[in-house]
Amino acid sequence: MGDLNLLPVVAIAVPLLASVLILLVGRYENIREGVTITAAVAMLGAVLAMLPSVLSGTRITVSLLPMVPGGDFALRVDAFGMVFALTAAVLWLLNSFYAIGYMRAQREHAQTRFYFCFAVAIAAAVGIAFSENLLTLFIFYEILTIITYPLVVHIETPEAMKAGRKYLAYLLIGGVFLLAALVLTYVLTGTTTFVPGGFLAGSGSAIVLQVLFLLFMVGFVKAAWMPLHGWLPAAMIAPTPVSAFLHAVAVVTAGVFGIVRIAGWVYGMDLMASLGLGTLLALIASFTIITASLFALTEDNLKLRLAYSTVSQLSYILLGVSMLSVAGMTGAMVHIPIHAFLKITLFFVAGAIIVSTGKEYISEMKGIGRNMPVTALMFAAAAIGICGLPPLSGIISKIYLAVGAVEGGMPVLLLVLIASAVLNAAYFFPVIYTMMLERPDDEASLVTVSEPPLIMLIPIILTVAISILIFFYPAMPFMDLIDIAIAEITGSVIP
Amino acid sequence: MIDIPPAFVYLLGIFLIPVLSGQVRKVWTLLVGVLGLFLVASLQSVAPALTIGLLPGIDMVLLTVDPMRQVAGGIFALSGLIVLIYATYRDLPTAETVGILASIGAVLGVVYAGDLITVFIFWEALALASLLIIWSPRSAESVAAGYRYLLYHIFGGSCLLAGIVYTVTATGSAAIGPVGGGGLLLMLVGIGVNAAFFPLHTWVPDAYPKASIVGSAALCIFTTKAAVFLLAEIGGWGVTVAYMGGVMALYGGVYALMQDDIRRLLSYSIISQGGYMVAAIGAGSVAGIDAGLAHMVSDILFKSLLFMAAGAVILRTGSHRLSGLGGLWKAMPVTTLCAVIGSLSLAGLPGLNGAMSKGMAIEAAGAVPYLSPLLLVSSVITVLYVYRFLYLGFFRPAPGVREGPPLRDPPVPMMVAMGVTALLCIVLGLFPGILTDLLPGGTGAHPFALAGLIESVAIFAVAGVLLLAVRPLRQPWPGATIDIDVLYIGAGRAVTWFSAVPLMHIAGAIDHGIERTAVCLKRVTANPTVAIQIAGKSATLPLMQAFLDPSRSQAYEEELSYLRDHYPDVQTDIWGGGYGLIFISIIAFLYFILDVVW
Amino acid sequence: MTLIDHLPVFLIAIPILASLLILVAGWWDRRFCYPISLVTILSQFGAAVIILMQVMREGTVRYYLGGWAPPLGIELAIDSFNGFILATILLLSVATVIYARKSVEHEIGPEKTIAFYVLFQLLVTGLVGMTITGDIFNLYVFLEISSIAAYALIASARKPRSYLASFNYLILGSIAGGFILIGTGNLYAATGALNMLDIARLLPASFELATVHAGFLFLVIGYSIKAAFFPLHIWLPDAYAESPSAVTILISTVMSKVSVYALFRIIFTIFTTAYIVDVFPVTGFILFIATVAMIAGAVIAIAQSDLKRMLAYSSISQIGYIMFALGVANQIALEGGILHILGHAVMKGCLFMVAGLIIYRVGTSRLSDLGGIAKVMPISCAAFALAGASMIGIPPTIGFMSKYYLVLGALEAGHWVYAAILLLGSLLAVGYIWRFIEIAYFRDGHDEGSGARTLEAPASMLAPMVALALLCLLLGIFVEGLMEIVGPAASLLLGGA
Repeated sequence: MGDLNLLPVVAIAVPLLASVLILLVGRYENIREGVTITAAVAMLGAVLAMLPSVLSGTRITVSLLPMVPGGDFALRVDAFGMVFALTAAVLWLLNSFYAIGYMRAQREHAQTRFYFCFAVAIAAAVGIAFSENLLTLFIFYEILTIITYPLVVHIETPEAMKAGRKYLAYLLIGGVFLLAALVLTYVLTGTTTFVPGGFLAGSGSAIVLQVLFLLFMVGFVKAAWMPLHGWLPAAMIAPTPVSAFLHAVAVVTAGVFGIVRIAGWVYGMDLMASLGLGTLLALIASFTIITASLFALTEDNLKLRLAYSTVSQLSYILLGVSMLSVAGMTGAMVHIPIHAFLKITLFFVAGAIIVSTGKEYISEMKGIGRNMPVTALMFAAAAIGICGLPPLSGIISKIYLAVGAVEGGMPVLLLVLIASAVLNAAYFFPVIYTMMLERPDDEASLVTVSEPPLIMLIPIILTVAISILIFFYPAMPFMDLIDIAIAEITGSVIP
Repeated sequence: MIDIPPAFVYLLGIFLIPVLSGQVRKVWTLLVGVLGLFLVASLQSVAPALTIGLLPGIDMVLLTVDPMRQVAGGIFALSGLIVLIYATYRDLPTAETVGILASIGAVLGVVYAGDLITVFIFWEALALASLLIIWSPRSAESVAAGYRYLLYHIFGGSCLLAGIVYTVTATGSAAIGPVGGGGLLLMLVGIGVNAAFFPLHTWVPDAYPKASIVGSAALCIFTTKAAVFLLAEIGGWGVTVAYMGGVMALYGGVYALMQDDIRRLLSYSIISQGGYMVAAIGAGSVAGIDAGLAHMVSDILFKSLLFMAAGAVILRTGSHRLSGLGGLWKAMPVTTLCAVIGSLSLAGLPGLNGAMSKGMAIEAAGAVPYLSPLLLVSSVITVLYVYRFLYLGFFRPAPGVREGPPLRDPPVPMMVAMGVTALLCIVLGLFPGILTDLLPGGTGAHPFALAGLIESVAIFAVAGVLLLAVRPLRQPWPGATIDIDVLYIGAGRAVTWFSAVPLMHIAGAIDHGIERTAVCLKRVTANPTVAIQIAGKSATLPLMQAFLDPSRSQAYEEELSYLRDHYPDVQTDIWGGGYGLIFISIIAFLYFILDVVW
Repeated sequence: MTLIDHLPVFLIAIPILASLLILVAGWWDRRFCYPISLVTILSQFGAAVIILMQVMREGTVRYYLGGWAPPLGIELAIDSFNGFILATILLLSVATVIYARKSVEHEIGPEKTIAFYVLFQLLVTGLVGMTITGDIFNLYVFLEISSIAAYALIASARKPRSYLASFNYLILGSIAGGFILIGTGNLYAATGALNMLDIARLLPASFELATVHAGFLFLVIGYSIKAAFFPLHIWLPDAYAESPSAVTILISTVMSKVSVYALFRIIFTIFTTAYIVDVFPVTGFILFIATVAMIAGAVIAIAQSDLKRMLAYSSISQIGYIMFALGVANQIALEGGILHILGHAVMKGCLFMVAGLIIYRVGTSRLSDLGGIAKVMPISCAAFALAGASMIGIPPTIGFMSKYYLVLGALEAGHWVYAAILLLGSLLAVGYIWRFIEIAYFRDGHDEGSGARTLEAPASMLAPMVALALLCLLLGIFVEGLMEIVGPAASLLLGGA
């Protein structure tokens, strides 16, 4: 197992190493991009190498160095972490190709900084996935916050700086709350190591634990639950690969990942139920789902509409957690990769449209499907997937969430799901038919438009393909991993 | 003996469509259709169920075979093939071809599904496939109608899922069977959207007339009938559903009577006929189920026949309004013949399949009090609108001289398709045993029994009297287009408006407020000492103006305005040691006070 | 007695001799000053490290000057606490002296270098003496030595504003000195002893005397002035902002820390926790003031339009963090406080070095003139970002670790509110740090015309800065090693072994 224990460290170290290299060779573009790709492949390899043993139910734990009371700096690879890490690793590879195409097509400035931050950020994301305790998770969480800032403000216009400040304000304040929660947890229990099924039970009075949970919730503001979602639409000012990265690969995913971790590995479902936290979470999630969808309904800027869609979709995960039932938890966990793959496609397409036509507003996109059929088709596919229609992966989490709602004794949540399904369709399908069916206002404007370069088109197709694959073979690997994770937190025997 | 789900044939067949074109594509589609039909026919009732664990914990049964499924599967595959033949008269858009094949596949998936989850997945697929068909004319109205169609069915599908989930968690199995408890209502709503239950029916007349002529011929086969089949399959609904059927029959009939657009008329007729099936199934008896299935088969046949005929008319005349048509029987004899057969079958003329199955339905519904009168009344209405359809459309003298090329019967493929269907109508009408022997309950039909005949005669007689008595019934009128969906559309507009105007305002206000506070905070903290000075000075300014002589108050104001203008860059001058002395003497003073106290 | 045992006295003796040597050699040739000074401080640092290891091995090292045992003679006592401080300040002094060479020539002028190095040596001597002496009066003497050197150094920037600042500091410093002297006198009157341990042993008998209370107050206030503990900080901003970069670095990192050390020493070693908790309950008050200091300092720092002044105010806020530990006064919090003495010294030293570099190259430290500076001074700005992150408390930097201990301590002591304020207050650091980051990285200005031409400062100035920046990170990551020294130090302050 010796080499196995090395793998998680490798998975995090590779991108960090790459970031340094990127700075060094920044002058030579091709070498720089080469480094990025190589690192992405290497990291994916490292993650995949761990997959079999994780699937066999073993947990890889590496204690790197002792740090402060409240936790060593330690990594642990478990099934749930693997879900996140795998998603991030795969998507980073695809996103890197896409980003290269995008940044070059757009002739963006400061690309070295861009790739540097990307590499560090992905390291942080994987670190979050592999954290063994709250402290480690917090460390990587803060690093992620800081390092994504330059990406958000990449274009450096005053609006971008303003958005950047908003981004930083939300996330750093959240970080402080997370730190408070972390310290409080330590003071209450004397440990912050994640334990399947939770370790907080009986460590404090109900009110303290409820407050603690609120601290955690604010701490994981990256999950963009309303009304603390403001930073996400603001961050849409970033270049599209960054948006894709924020929305699918790392940042928001890290937020919801954290909340699921807290629910399953710090509190435990029973404790949360007895504290009535499920209801609280359900309220927040339902409110977010509906309101965000309403925002998306009339938003004309495609990226912003997608952003609000993300806000709404992320709360599906919170909703699943709030049901405090096995099926709900499963739905929440599986929705993380599913949403990631679908949403990144949508952002890829948005970026492709910007590259090919420079259009950002849906009302300007009439009929571009005729010049960019594949792109538009992929958008339609991904949108259908998010609406939870076959044959894409979205329907899977939808089914599990519905089951969870009834299992968890909250049938009213079914109504939320129904309303949200209708709203999803209501704000996605106009985009589809605007692109594919309507006639452009002036045909002339479209004559020069064509499909984006292959280096961008292929990732788009791949993400959709993967989403379809997940629909047909959800078990491999995500469902199997999630089954293990669920078995862990429910204490039942690992399948 | 191959036992792969028939759905797969069509769904896999799709993959070649984009690469093929022209005649090759047509041949390929027909091949797929034939193959599918053959596969359905060759399925043995004893065929082992095909189960896959698509979702962990949920075994999805993709293929189970029993008599009921065989009947439904057979008719869907058959009519699907007929539509495919009909469609070969021209090169369809890729999307539409895909849509038709996918619809057939999805509906067969629903039919042969062995558990509710599978049903749900194919159910949603069917909605998407139909959307493709509706959208393929690419006209503004078809786009809008398709959008509304999708919203209806997403809603229905989600409700169905919710209901299914209830059942699954309650019974612990996803097997298809009677539902109870909380799931019942949700499931009823879910199925009801597709079955066009009364308040949820508006998508039928909204969407079907806006599809292409092939599209509407295809659409009329699948969605509503799939829902009816699922109703029959699940069974065990109370009388409520039966009465719902009555309402549908009457409501659809009345609205059909008021239409001018022929396809809209037929759409309402779908609702009305669906009412008979729902009523029969709702009656709950074995005979009722059988009757529902039988009438489903009949309706598929004659309704698609009528839609195909209507399509032929629209193709040739370019007009789809009764008020604009007329005198076609000379120009388009074959079409007219088919239309007549279909119409009379729909009207329930003994000797055609409609009469047979409708008789079964009314008989079965008789078990439910006050239901059969409803159905009889709507039968009369049916005769009325059938008459309008035939007379105004085909037999009355043409309202005006028509320009353009002389009218001809439609292309051969269309005629073939219509002919086959018409033939089936007659055969099934004359030898109902062919169908009834297949029915799961083995209920027999006896259309030529005296009672049935008298009933039919009575219906026609009443209708005839009405026609003679009420002149407007024989005249075209501007069709009634107002239906209950104005409410839904209004609601949709309301939601859109809400999210567009008030919601945005609120959000903007909050955002703005936060930003303002942040800015103020930043401004004050930007130079606290000076900020305090400014505050103090502006507070005392009135006093100064009141009590100082103008020159000095002038200077005071200037100082203030200077501070204001140069804020926050005004550097506070170095704090000399004096300040320190003051601080420390204060502290020391405090200390000595303390000292005295001790 | 082997040579090793005489190291403590060398710590004081060598630099005094060195300063004379520099004076003499400087007359002969100015270029001698730097090497001599460097060698001296390096040797001091080496000695400090050796002593520290010895302390960790064998416990407190005591050295009687001239062999006279207390109460007659003067004692140098080095335990884990001041051993740690000693190493810290000498480390920073080494960094400073390396950095100073170029910046002195640039800011003070070649002809004044001799004077500078002499004073520099004296300053370091005074601070080292303050740190290692075990005698309370001796403490005062060394304090005055260092102060006088400091006044002169601050004025050496030869700008009118710096004269004013120096004079201002002189007045307050003298007041502080006076207070300290009075306080020392009170204690002597109460106990008849000057050796810290003796006083600590004798004092409990006369805890209730007003004299003792007075002495306590005078000492605390006096040293608070020297440590620029809010609201007695008024001398600090100008003293930091107007003095030459090298001097700023030394007084901001080393001098204020030593005064804080003296405060800790007096409060915990002389008037034990028993006094400040039971007899004269002052911790709550200090905690309150410290919290105010954290917030106020940071808020005013955000206001500044000049980089050095901004950093100066941030120092006031950071001193607040250290005093916070004093106010909480339990093991973990004190560990955090002591850790923060080191941490703040390192990161603030690095930040001031960057400021110095910018002045060296651009000639101004007005924020408004520094747009896009990162494009021409990438290394410096990267260092600033790193040290700044530590200042904000981004893990895994040293700044985060000390903050973490402080919060933990506060929570364990049940000070929920203060812990919350500390956490949120730490965000204010973002306010001023990020202002510079934004200006430096994301605003145009310096990249126009000059293209990508980097005009980084000479390596002799870059090296110490980069070293400190990396220390911010490394000390944080390997904080566990530090805790092996800091832990005992904290428990020792609390009266443990």
